[in-house]
Amino acid sequence: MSLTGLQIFKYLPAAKKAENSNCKKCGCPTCMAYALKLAKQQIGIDKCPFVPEALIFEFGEASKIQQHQIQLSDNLVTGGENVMYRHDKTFVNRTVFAIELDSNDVDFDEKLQRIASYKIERIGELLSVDAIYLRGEGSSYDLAFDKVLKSGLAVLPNPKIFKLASGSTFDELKSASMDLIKKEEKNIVLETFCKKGLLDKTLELLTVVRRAAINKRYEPMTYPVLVHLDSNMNINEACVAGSALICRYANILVLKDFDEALISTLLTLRQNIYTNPQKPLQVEAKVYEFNEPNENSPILLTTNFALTYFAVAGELDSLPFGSYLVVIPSDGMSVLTAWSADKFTAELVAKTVEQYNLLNKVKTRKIIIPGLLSHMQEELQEAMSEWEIVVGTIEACQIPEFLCKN
Amino acid sequence: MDVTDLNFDIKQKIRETNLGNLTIGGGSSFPFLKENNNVAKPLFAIEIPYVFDKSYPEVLKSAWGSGNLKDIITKAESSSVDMISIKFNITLEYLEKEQKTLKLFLTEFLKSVKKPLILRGANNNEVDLKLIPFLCENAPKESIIAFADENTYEQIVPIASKYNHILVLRSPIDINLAKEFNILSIDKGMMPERILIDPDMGGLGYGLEYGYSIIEKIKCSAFDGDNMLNMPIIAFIGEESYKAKEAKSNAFDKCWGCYDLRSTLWELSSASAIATAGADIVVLWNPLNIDALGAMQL
Repeated sequence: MSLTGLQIFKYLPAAKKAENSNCKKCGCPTCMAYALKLAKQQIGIDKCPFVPEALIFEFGEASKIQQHQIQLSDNLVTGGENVMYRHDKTFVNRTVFAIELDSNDVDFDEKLQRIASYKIERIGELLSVDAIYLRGEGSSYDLAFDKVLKSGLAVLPNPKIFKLASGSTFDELKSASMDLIKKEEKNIVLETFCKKGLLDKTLELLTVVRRAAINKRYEPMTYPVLVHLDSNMNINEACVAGSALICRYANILVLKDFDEALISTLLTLRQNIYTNPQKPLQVEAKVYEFNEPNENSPILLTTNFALTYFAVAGELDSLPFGSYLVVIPSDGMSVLTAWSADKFTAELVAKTVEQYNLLNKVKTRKIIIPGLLSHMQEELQEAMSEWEIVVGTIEACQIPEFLCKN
Repeated sequence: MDVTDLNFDIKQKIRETNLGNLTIGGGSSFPFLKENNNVAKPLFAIEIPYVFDKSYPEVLKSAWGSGNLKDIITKAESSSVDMISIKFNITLEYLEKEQKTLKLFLTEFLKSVKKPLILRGANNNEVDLKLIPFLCENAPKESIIAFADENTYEQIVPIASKYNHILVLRSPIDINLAKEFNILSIDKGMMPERILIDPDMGGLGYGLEYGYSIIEKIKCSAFDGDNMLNMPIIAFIGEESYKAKEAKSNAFDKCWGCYDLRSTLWELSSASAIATAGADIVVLWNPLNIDALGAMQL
């Protein structure tokens, strides 16, 4: 959150109509021009001899980093967050998921292979584990380190990339971080443990650390936070703790055990929480075909909001027969939101259906609309007299039963 | 180098209300923070349908170990859960024909239940306009009544307040609509202290983040002094979680993991996330998750 040109201008001579207004000593034609350049960091604050102390202070504060970003591997970045709540703007870099492995583990290769080959697909996106938190020493460690890199996963901790500042309280983290800052370390990761039964303490610590970073730009806390889940947590406890920590401020989450059900659940939550609230996920508006539909296959209709689309598509895909799904361009809004924002009007639906030339493609003359839009049935019927408008289900999960009955 | 003033500045607390010996709301920060002498602690309810129809997942029936409603309620009563929710998923026809059975169930059987109750309608305006007043009249004690929406509140508010029940107001994932709805209901005679906000949120993987952020936004506005948004929040996350295919179908490849476990974790993860966001009451469906969340120590 740097200062804007106008915020800077208020401190300059021209804003106060004082002496030396627009003196050009900075090389700019006016104070306003200088302010705008300074806001974009295209000129130094030292170029103007009349800048007051207060601006130097404000400017210094505002250009401090809130949370450093660290490149963990070619395509994995952590940190760089700049808000306390996702609704303030968005969270930036998804919580890194790491699984802990010991290089002396007799099943090391097998475990690594299982983790590295893990992937699931949700809303058109492939999700997988990001890294291995590697323990061990000596030659077996070096060997294991290379194996992990070859598998495509990142290795943590990696002293060549960052140094760890560990602690279980704010003060411990602070002093560990300050020691590293004194040694002029640039890449620091704050490390802490979430102990069984003490999730509240960890959440409290991470919240205060994040506040110090985001609101106060307090340097020792402006680094990504890595949290280990205690090894004696059972899988339910790991799920509760992992879920809460994805929401509240873990940049890196290290799990002691790898379980597919747990990982798929947590990856889904991470995908939800890190979705940018300012940009609804959209799919392309067009006619989608499932299971090679023919001229008698049912036709359904919905919006281009990705969640709606994938919920419906998932059901249609699972059916033993073909179907069509007409997706209306509705700015990525869900069914009711689109309707109330006039992005899902009878006119638009009629135009879209006509444009897809469905009348010539199929024999069926029925179009199934979302159950939430049952109040639009008559209006749609009037706008699309060649078709019979059928009200479908409210929930996507009821679609198979509905289609089998009709 | 030092830093001070990391506490959350609040102008007011969340409204506090009592149900039996439970305190709902009253928080002065997010649940896991001890600042401002915060006492907020999410409460957990377990929801049981009146009729075990096809929409109720098999995996939950086997988690309860029985399909008998009264046995299940008795089991819930002896668990560590804070309250019990009954979803009256019935039709108008049933309500008319079986009024006596229903009345006996409420005034005799539920009367013997000691835990605080949530009595929930059928989630169908036509049914709820008849059913919810019936539940308000025949509830064995002051309870949480769920829910009134924009189509039903004019009829439901007077009767819910007559019996001093706590009323859940459901509005569709929007902070302004939630506020407007609170104001409208108060105009109709609802006491602000007897309102719970239901943001009508989606479950994990199906729009959870919208409800999650609405809960956080409502809490931030409430702490910032908006006294038409500082009512406690209730989320029926169990029902939403078990709408997800991932929680009720084993037709997934092996990377999705063991089905029974995933089905439990799917609800647990949603519940943990929204409790963290600040939901005051989290309504679960899976009895296996009661203890796991109790251990959350929030």
